[in-house]
Parts: sequence; C-alpha cells; structure tokens
Amino acid sequence: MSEPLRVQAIGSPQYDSKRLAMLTRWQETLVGYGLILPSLWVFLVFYYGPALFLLYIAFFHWNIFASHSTFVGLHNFVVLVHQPIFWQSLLNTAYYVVLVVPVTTLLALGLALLLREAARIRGGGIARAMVFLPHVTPVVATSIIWVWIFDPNFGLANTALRFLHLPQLQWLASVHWALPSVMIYTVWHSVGLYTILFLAGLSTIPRQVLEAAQMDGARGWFTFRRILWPLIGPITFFVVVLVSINTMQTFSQIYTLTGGPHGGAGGPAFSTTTDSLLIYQTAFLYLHFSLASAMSVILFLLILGLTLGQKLLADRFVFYR
Amino acid sequence: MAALQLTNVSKEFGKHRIIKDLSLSVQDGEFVVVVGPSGCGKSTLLRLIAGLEKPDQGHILLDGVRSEYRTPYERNVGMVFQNYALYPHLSVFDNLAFGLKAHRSPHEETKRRVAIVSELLELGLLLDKKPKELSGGQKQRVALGRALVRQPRIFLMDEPLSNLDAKLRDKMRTELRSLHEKVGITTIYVTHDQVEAMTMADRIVVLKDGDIEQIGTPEEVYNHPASTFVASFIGSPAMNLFKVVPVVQGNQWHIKPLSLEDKSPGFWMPALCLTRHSLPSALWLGIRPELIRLHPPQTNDAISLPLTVDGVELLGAHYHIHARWIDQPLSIITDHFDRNQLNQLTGYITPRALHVFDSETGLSMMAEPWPGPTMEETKEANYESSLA
Repeated sequence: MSEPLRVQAIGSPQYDSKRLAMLTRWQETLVGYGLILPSLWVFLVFYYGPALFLLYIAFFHWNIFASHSTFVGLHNFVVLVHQPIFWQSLLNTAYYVVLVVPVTTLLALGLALLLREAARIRGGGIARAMVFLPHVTPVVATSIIWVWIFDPNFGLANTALRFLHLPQLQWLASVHWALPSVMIYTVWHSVGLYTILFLAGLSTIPRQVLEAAQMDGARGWFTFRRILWPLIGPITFFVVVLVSINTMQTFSQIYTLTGGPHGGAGGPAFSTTTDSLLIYQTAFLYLHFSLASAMSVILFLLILGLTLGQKLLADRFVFYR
Repeated sequence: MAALQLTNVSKEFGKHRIIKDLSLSVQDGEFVVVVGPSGCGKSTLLRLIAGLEKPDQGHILLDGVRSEYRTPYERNVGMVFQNYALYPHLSVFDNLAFGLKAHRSPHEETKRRVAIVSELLELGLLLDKKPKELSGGQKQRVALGRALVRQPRIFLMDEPLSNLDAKLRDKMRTELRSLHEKVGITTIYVTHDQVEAMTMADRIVVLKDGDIEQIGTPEEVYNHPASTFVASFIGSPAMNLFKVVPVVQGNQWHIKPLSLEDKSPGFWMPALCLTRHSLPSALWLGIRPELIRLHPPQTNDAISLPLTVDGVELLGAHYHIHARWIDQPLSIITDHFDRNQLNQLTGYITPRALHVFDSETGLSMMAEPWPGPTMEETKEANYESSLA
C-alpha cells in the first residue's frame, strides 16, 4: 500500500494568499510593481527611453557620429518651418487622413452591418474571416502584390477598368493617383480589423431593443439612424480615434508601394511623402536626426491634439450606456 | 369573431419542435395567461403571434385575417418584453413616441397620444428622464406605455413582472389587471408563475413541451386539472399525488399505495365515474393540500389516512405541514392544528375531493369532474380544523 501522493509546495496558493492579505497597501503596491518589473524595464529601455531621448535631441544639434551635442533651442523647428517639403508632407498626411479615416470607418461599419445579416446564413463565418484576413497579412508582403495590381500595363486594377470600359490610370506612377493608390491599399488592409470591432459593438445591442423597434414599426434607415448609430457611438468613436492614429503614422505601405529600399519612396514628385516617411528619410537617409526628432515631436503633438479634439466631440455627442 | 385564432401552428428550431400543432382561439377583450415551465415554448408562442417568428406550419388569424406573413407593425400588436428593452439612449418621451415617429405621425398627434398614455400610467414626471434613471417599476410602466401608445389590437406581455422584486410584483399584478379593465385590449400574457396565471387570467393556457395541456378559467384549471402536469403545476404547494393500485369490489374501490402493496391496509372509497370502463392496474390519486382535514368531517364517507409528520412551516395565515402517508410525501395546508396531534396525526379526505389520473398518460380520468370545492367548502375545511 502506498500513501496517496501529497504535494506541499512552499508557495502554495493558499499560503500566499494568506500572506498577501496581511500586506499593507504600500507593500502591496511594491509587490505589484515588482511583478510587472520584468516587462516594464523592456518598455523603459526600448520605448520610453528612446522617446525621451528623441525629445532631447529635438532641441539639440546632434550627430550620430559626433561625441557631443549643442543646445540650439527651437532652431530645428525654425529650419523645418522654412522647408517646403515639410509643409508638403503635412499636406499629404492631412489629405491621406481626411480621406482614409471616414472611408475606412464607414466601410467597416457597412461591412459589419452586412456580416451581421450574413451570420444567419451558411457561410457567414467564412465571409467574416475573409474580410478580416487582409489584416493578418504582413504589410510589406501584400504591398508587393499591390505593386503588381497597380502596374499600369499588366496590373489587375487597369484590367478591371478596361473590362468596365473606364479610362485607365497610371496609379502609383501618377502624381495625382499615387497617394490615393496607397489609400486604397490601406483601406483594404485595415478595414477588416475595424469591421470586427464594429461587429463586436453591434453585438452588444440587446436583441430585444431591436425587436422592440421592429414592433414599433421602425425599418432599415430609421432603425439604423435612431437605434444602431446612437448605440454603437462609443465603438464608432474608438474606431475613428484608432484609424486616425494609425493613418497619421502610416509608413510601411508607402515605403514599399512607392519605391522600397531602392530609393525613390515618397514619389513621384513627393506626392506620397507623408510626415512619417519624411521623418524616416530625414533621419536614416540624410542623417539629420535632430530635424527628424523635431518632426516627430510635431507629429506627436498633432496626433495628441486630434485625439483630444475627438474626445471632446465624443463627450458631447456619444451616448454611453 | 375571435380576436386571435391560431390553427395547427408548428414551429421548429433545428431539430427541436418548440410548438407542436397548436390551436388556440382568443376572444376580443380577453386576458389570456399562457403558463408553463421554462422551455415549454410559451415565449416562442408569443413571438409567433407578435410576428417576430414565422410559423413553419399553420395559420395565425388576427380578426379573421391571415397574418403569418405580416410584419409585427402590420399586425398592430404591442409587446412588453421581459427586460423592458427600452431604448437606452432616448428619454421616456422619445421611448413612448418612437413608434409614432417611425411612421411620421404629426407632432401634435404624437404629443397628444403620449400625453394620454403618460397620464394613464402616471409617467408625467418622468418624460425627460433616461431609462437608466428609472426604477424597475418605472421602466416597466414605460415599456407598457410604449406598447399602448400605438393603440394595439392585441397586447403581448412576455414575463413582464419577473424582473421586479416580490412586493412590486404583487402591486403590478393588480395594476396590470386594472389597466386591462380600463383599456380593454385583448391581452396574451406569458409567465412561468402560476400565481400570476391564477390571479390575472380570464383564461389560463397551460403549455407543456409546445403543446396545450389545458385551457380554462383559473377555477377550472385549479379544480379540474386535465392532467397530473397541470395538477402539480397550478397551486402552491402542489397537489398531492399518489400512485395507487385500485381493486374494484362492487361499487367500491379498494386503494393501496403502489410501493407498499403488501403491508399497507389501504382504504375503501366509492367508485368514481371514469371515462374508461375498465380500471387500469395503477392510477394517480390527487388531492389538494388544503382539502385534507385534520378532524373527522360530519359525512360518513370520509377516508382517514394515518400520517407521520416531518415538519411544519408557518406561512403567515396558514401552516404547511409536511407529512407522509406510509411512504408517500404529502402536503397539508391548514389554519390551525394542535401541536399534541403531531405524533399521531390523521388526515381525512372526502372521496369527492379526489382526482384520478391515468398512471401512464397522466391524463385525468374523471368523466364528470366533481364540481370542485367552493370557497365555502374550503372555508368549512379550515373551520373544522380550527375547532381543534
């Protein structure tokens, strides 16, 4: 006869929870920070550290090869203000954001509404997966596919236009169409994520509320306008903020679609040079780290301002249950 | 013409037949309570009438008009949902006015109709509030108002009181009933609570597994339950049911409990008039807890049962005695009893108070159901036990 195996670990949960219950609040706080320290220091060293350093060199003349740096105050910002390309990049970014944010948001909402209906039929789950799929593909890889799609001679885009008897476009090679081409790619790549967010938001609306509206005789647009739209307000706000932040920081697809590592990214004629691309080029192509840092600070402030503005609007118009 | 007529209605979800070939006719102005345990299909039945679900088979006639393919709005039915389902972002006024606005009712007309309903339901002071600022009872009244404001032909209520606390539920029962007296709208009310069914209904529909078990007035359903299911579902505590073996001897039955056939002496009772000529080998005998008396009645046909007492509960005005006849559990409701009796308690029942059910189907076998205890008889029973 063997005795049943008994495991008495030193740190058994019971033992620890008794000990934890006796800790003072300060001790508890310390324990808490101790527990997150392993991941916190990664953030401090590789995220907040560089960010603070960036803020520092934005006000200095700093050279990656020089051992010392000189304080120049707002000089870097003054230089930027006098660069036409800086204003061009802000304008490009604004154009990009102003179009991508509403298009992505509305398209995601529309797809979510369709997929919600599709959930009732066979294959609804597959449709949902297909909408989400582009988002899980790597930007760099799918961008290369889209370079082919946008090819003026052999690309799928122009083949489709030809089939529809519409005028063909130069896409990425055209000053007017290069940035919209990037927008099309961005919407394609990211809309799935926001669709899923909207679907989640729609699923929080109680079924009975919609049925009550049905009993009240409300239909399609009226139900959407008076019930769905107000009730998914918080999700819509969240999506708009998220799309705004993400589009203001767009880099990979512009870099890959418009030139890639062989140079020329941001063209033709700087028509796709957005602020994050310009920051990258200023820093790593022209090695003006201080200027790039100053630009980053400006971009940060712009995103902060935009988000705060959206928050103010949301507080006024969004209904929270 | 019936306000609502369901003919052979069936509804399936996947492999489950929720409603089975159900037919029901509701008269204009009636207050019908559909009662049954959860999962019996009562909510589905309501949703079929509302038009939120389409029947797989059968017809739904509203005022004689085939309606199974009409929208809820076209059917002109109002519905109160269990969790109220108020529009959370709209004020009480807008909640009430929503349906009118959806159909572009003129502003003055909307205001007038909302005013009428809010006066009827005493919502006047709440019109500017949002649902989350309201108490459960207030939300309930707004939900009622929203259904009423369109002046529906039929009023559907899906367990409207189940989210309220017990005290408020009692109050709302009376209020709902008096509201019905005032507006007179045909009402179908779904609940799992037999008390609501008994107190509010003109007619009760007892539903079991998607099938109607019995339809009748509260008195009929209580006094002449059509099956053991109805007998045990309606009434609290439930009717006492014993599985017994009857032996016919002349115009008498000798009854023994099934489980202890050998040892128990059983009892004699006069043969009851049954639907079937031959007596089955086993049957269910039923008796309401309040019809078991603790003192021998004046009549000479009383059956006496030796009882063992397991416990006594005080229910305010009554006592609920948990007892056993041999090994069969038994509930007794009485106003008074003598604590000295508890050791050797004898229960007396008159054969007229007994219900007989088929042991296999559970259906009542009484050809002519006895008229049932009148209020006086129940009082008499209590009075006699009070003489102790």
